[in-house]
Amino acid sequence: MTTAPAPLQLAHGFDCGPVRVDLAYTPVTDPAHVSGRADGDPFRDRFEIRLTSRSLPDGATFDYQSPQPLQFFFSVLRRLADGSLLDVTAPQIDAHHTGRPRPRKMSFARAGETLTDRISYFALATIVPDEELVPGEYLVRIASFELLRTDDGAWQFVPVELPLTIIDPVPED
Amino acid sequence: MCNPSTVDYSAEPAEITQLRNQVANARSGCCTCAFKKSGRFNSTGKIQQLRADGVTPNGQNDSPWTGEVFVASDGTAGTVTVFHRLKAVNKTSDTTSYPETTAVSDADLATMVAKIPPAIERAWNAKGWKLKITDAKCGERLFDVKFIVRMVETGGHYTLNFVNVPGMGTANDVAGVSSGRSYILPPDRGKFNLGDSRTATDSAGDECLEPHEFGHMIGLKDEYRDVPMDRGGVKYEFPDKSTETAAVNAELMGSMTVKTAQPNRYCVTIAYAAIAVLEANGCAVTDCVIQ
Repeated sequence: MTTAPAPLQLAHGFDCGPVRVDLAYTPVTDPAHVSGRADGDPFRDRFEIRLTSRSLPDGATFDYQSPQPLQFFFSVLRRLADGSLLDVTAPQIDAHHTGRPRPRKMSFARAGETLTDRISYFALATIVPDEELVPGEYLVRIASFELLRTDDGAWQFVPVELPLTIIDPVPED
Repeated sequence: MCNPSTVDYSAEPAEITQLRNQVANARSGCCTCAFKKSGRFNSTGKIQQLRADGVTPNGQNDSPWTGEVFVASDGTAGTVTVFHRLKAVNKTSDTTSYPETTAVSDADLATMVAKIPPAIERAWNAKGWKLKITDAKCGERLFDVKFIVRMVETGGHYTLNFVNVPGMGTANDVAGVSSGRSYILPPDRGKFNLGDSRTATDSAGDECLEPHEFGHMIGLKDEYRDVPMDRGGVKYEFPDKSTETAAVNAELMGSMTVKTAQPNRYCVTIAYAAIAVLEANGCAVTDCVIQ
């Protein structure tokens, strides 16, 4: 039986030159978390991008672009009964209010350190109307974008499709 | 003994109480009654945000919104009263959800947010819109439009998380939005930044931030003309089928150089809401003009 909270699941990984990128996410969530209306830890259900140095010198800075605001990077599709996909993505906050994506400076303090970027599922409510976030099967797409830039070059995020289940939190009789 | 500054959250405006009493006695199709709708108002699809070419819709229509609309008439004239209860939630200490925010006490927040309703009412009642509504039975009637806003502790039409971030901030909040940016997330919540220089919650500044956000609380879209952002304004379709395309930055739903709601188009979602209220109560509206 599918239940929430579900553990993080490693779903994606690739190398960006001197940096290893891994993406983990919570494959099962509920309407309260995915609509940002849950009490408690807002990062219970999340996407997590983990950066690990492969060959960057300690302290060397690089530009990292988190895929936020979501409307610039994410789309959400609901799987219908016949197996087809319905795109339910519709930005709920104008880009003038969200601000545009801005890379930020990061660096590894020491070898083996992992830098983690967490994106709460609360953010999904900014790109999908409330009434569309109902129990069912979904596919979350993250498009390609410039994820990392160092003095030696720029690297793209490898696009991914992540299956996501929104469960009905009310137990059935 | 000196009492601390407090806000009487419980007081509902006498005007609203009076309207509720009138609504209780309403009869379907009555021309001298008061009617109301409380709750969610769906998108009409009559407002379309445009791409940079100023013609092509970008898929964003007027948003669903939450509030209470009263339509009251004496037979020849009347009022359309738009009432919003706003619930403030102190998130100024929640740095997990809202990085860069600095704590403000509940008492200080209450004092600050008490300045929001008058600022919104000043901005949205400045023009003094009228709706000339014609229906088959009651004929032509002229309604004054009035906006009333109150902060409440429970039962808000909108729940607003308040943060205190200098300027626009540098990190993203829990919704993936820049931490200092204010926004409305339709149909019933939002985030307001006390640290924004344009807020009405301090004693300085332009007092236009919350009035702008209130425009979103009645379903309006941003109408900036901003080619790099692929924005070419907004097309409005009025109840009388006339249209207007506005791609201007100065007005309140643009960059807020004009700090009050002046264009008649800003009353269009209220016009549709008033029509919906009348039609839900047995009136057959044939025309509505915003004046």
